[in-house]
Amino acid sequence: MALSGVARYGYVYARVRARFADVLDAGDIRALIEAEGWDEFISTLMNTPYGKAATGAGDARELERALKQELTAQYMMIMRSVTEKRLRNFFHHFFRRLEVENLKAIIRLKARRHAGEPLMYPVDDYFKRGITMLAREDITIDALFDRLKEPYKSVLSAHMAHMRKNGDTLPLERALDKEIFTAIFESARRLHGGDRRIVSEIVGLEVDIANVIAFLRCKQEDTTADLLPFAFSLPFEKLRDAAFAEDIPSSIRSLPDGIIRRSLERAIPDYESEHSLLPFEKALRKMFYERVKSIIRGYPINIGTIIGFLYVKEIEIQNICAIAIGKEHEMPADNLMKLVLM
Amino acid sequence: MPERIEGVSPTRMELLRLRQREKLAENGEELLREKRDALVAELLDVVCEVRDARKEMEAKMKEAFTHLAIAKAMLGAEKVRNLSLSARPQEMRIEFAARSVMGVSIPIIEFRHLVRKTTERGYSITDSSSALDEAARCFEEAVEKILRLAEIEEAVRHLASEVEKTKRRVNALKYVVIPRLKETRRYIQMRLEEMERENFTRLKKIKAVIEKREAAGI
Repeated sequence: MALSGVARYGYVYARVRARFADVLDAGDIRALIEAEGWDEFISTLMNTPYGKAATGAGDARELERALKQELTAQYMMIMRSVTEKRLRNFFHHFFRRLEVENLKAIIRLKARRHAGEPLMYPVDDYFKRGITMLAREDITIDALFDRLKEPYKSVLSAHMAHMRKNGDTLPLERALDKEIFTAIFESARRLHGGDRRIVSEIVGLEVDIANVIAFLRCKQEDTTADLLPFAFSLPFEKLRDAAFAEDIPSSIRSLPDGIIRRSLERAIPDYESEHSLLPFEKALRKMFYERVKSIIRGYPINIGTIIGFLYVKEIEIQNICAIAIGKEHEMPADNLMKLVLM
Repeated sequence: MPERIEGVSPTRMELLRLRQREKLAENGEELLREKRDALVAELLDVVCEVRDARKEMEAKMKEAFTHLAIAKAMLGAEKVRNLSLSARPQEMRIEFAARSVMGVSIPIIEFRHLVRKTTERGYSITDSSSALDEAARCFEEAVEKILRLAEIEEAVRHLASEVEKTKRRVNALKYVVIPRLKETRRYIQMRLEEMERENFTRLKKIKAVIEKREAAGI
């Protein structure tokens, strides 16, 4: 790659590379899993780069709050370090996924007139839309919509009548999904060739996985799946064809050949013994994690290393949260081991 | 020694009436004892059902909480809590009917199948996990099992109360009413015999007086 091609990553790449040193290895995760009880888990976590987040976390909820702040801080670091316009635009929308998560949480809360504040990603300092502040206020869902800013206001307004009529928040959530993924893929389209391919591959894989899991859950109950309105390696018509198969293993075998089908096929024996879709979900999550790791292998100077770092941090934080929940519920280490990605 | 019934006239009519009452009480005791035995047999069956239903319900609750913990571990506790807010509330149609066991009214709880399909629950499928579906399904099944358990426990409560009532009636008949009737009957019989003897003696005396007068030629 020409020097001009890598210059746009220089600063952000250096910062991300430095932060990779803080990523927990399999041994750290295993030590957290094998900790006896909550106190030992927290003291083990104190000895990792998450020591600050672990300080004062009395329960899994407090830890989750601290870890959400930690993940947001990683995104903020990327946003501060990316200077090239097109890259910055892409990461802006990629970061906005967290704001959309916040907004969905607030909509669910306000639609049910539920008091209390959800745990949110503290992204208001960056986006300046004051969404997390709205969660703290005792306002109705209508007041919430009145105070929303663009792009969310116009996206949601089309579905408000339905929401008001039957209190169903799903169309709003679906509209937000559509808006955010459209923005991500639109901004990815403007990236340089190699970057565009990496983003499509990784974010596209994430979307395909979400769709195939939704498809399998609906197939199990012979209902129609409500999928994300995007598809990459797994077109909708292929999923529709697979829905006509006799059972779930046959559906999987009728999917087009690729990493998704191969991962699912490997999990069929576990599905048949456990009668649960969880082995498929775990297999797909594991495959996604492996894919992310393969993108960052050798730390290439491209968008893959940066986006891979964010995914690795997200998965790592999910792992720590899962272990914390496991410790709270006194889950055996063997069971916990199956829930984390290493 | 049992007491006798107060204020009873020692007459033959009363004796006949007491004998009828005693027979009726003995028949009643016999019938009530049979009813009590039948209720106890039914109660024992239902108690076994309660034990099984309770075990099933506890196992289902345990399974549900295990799946909930897995869902929380996979999605995050906060997300599960938040997704639960978007779940559509389920209208539970419960109807109460009754059946009769040995004259005891046993409630029947009738309800619509409560387990819903994933798409009917109202939370976003692409934002959640199959672990959440499993947890939701297990909790819905657990509610069904709780209702079934409530029905059986209520049956046990009704049956146990009826057994207790019947037992008290049997005991009252066996140890109070029948012994009193018997005692009173014995008393009347004794009094009647005594009165008969008195009459006999009186008659004998009169006869002796009359014979004496006749012999004297008065």
